[in-house]
Amino acid sequence: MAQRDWLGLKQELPVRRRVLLAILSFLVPLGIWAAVSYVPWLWHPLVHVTAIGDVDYFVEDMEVPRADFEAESAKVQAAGGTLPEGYRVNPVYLPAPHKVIHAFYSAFTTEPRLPNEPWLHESFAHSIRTICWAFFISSLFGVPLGILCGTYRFFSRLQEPFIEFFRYLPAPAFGALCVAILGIDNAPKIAIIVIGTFFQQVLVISNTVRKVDPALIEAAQTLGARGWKLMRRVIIPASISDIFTDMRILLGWAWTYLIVAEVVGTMSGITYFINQQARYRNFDNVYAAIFMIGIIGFTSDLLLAWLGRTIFPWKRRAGSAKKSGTWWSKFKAKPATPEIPAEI
Amino acid sequence: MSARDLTLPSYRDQSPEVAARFARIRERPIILSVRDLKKHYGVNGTTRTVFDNVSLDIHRREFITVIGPSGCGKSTFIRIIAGLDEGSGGVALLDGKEIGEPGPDRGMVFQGYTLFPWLTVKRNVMFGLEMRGKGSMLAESEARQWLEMVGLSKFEDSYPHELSGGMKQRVAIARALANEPRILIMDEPFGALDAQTRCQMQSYLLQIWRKVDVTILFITHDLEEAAYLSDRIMVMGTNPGGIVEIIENPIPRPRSPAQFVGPEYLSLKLRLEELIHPPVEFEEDRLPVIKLTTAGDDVE
Repeated sequence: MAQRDWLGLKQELPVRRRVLLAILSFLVPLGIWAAVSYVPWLWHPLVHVTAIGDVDYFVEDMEVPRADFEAESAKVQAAGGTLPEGYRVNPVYLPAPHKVIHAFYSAFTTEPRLPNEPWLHESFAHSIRTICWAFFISSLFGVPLGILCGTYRFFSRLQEPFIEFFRYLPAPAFGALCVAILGIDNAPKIAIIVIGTFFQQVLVISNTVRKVDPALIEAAQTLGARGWKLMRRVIIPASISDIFTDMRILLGWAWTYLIVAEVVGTMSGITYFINQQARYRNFDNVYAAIFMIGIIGFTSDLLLAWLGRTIFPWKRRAGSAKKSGTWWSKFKAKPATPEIPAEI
Repeated sequence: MSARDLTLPSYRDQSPEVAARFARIRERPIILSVRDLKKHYGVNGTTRTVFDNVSLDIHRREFITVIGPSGCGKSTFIRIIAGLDEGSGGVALLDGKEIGEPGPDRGMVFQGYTLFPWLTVKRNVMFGLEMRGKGSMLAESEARQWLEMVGLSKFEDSYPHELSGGMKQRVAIARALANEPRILIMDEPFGALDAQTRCQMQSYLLQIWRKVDVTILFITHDLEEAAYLSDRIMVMGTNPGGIVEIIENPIPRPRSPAQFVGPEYLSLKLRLEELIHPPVEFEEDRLPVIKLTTAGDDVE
């Protein structure tokens, strides 16, 4: 094959280039961060004082703005005193990459300062539990209602105007109300995520179901399917893989609402951890915790995408997947698809 | 040389065998009887007539094709028969009973295949059988028989996206026939296939039709396809929409591509061309003259 352009219009790139670019997409921001952290003349707006010299108000290990440090130095020099010494640093809220990477480990071993504070893994477990419950409750009602609205105009006309209105009410606005009704424990937090997710879920899923090819429904009708059977055997299977994709996207939104919800009432979960660490000025732990959320979200999405390809084998188009068969097919003796002979 | 210089028989001239065959067909029971079927649309207060007064009797195991220019309502006509649309007047009786909602007694094959992508080939064919309450064992063995009939036994565990267009359409035919419909309605089923595959599929369909007791109502816009397949050809027109003529196909059976140069075919084709593509009155004097270049002035 001819060497293709890197910038071919709407042309897919070869796998090696795709992987290279994917790695690069992470390396570029990391490189900028590393440059700002390690190259001393880039930014570094503060001076870490190592020797106070003759400046009265300097304290060892304090960090002062560079302009102040230079002004004081000039003053001392003019008076003929001892010059203060120090080196340029970045503010504490921008830790260097190696510190954050180290914090990925050390955050888990950082002992809570107060006896009743949770460890990092406990915070994460709490957050994941909250999001799972919320997403489960939301889906329990949202998915069937979405399918109903997508299938029957009756339900769509009956529900959707109200839902369209309600989804504009910001979920966090219900915080105080949820606490008043449900107490200060985990219930109001779950409720807020449910409020944030549910209404979008109904609309998104009903839209997906409405997009089912009407020709498939007509074909099923001419084969004798109607009513509940039509829904169960045609409409749901025809849209289930797209619903699955919707759910992946909605789960991403639920994470956003999680952080908001955890501030409500008593702060809890990963948000509590992040806030405490910021208060103690352990910003490396803060970054590590934020990145961990990203990593958990990203890997769970990749896992779900892979799961989707596994349970919906018909979605794998001939071109996109060379290897046919599911991961379990190697345990199951199934004849491979015979080669397609000359047309008919 | 124009076609009129040939001494063609009339398309109405039938050889004794063909005439005898039509006589036998007329004696068979009527499967589908359409009387004064109408379809109107209301658009902004005015009604637009798609077609009017369509009457037709289809006998058992007859092969009827419907042709007509686009917009003549031939698709609407069969969608009404299939129960997917409602007529505005008149009646359509299947075995003497008025047709209603779509059902397995009227099998349908669409141009766009419409196989269920989440089901394997075999389970696609089993779909209708299961809808009618057959047990899965019975449905499976019947589905296998139908797949054998269309020559796709080897592909029973494949998914539709793994098949070629022609194979998909064969599955769709097997799926419709598995319900043992009284009438098989086919809406331009080979329209999306390439010319060579379409030819093969036509021969294929005739073979299946010979082996299965089924009446076929087939829509096409391809004159050759209509001539090759059908017993009778219902030609529909526009303005006013409706039946222009129902032609008894004079080409004897069994059919073969060799007949495409025979006199029966040519006379039939000529008639169909007249009906479907009426000569365009081209008033050359009234066309504006636009000079594009002066260089081409001496073209003639």
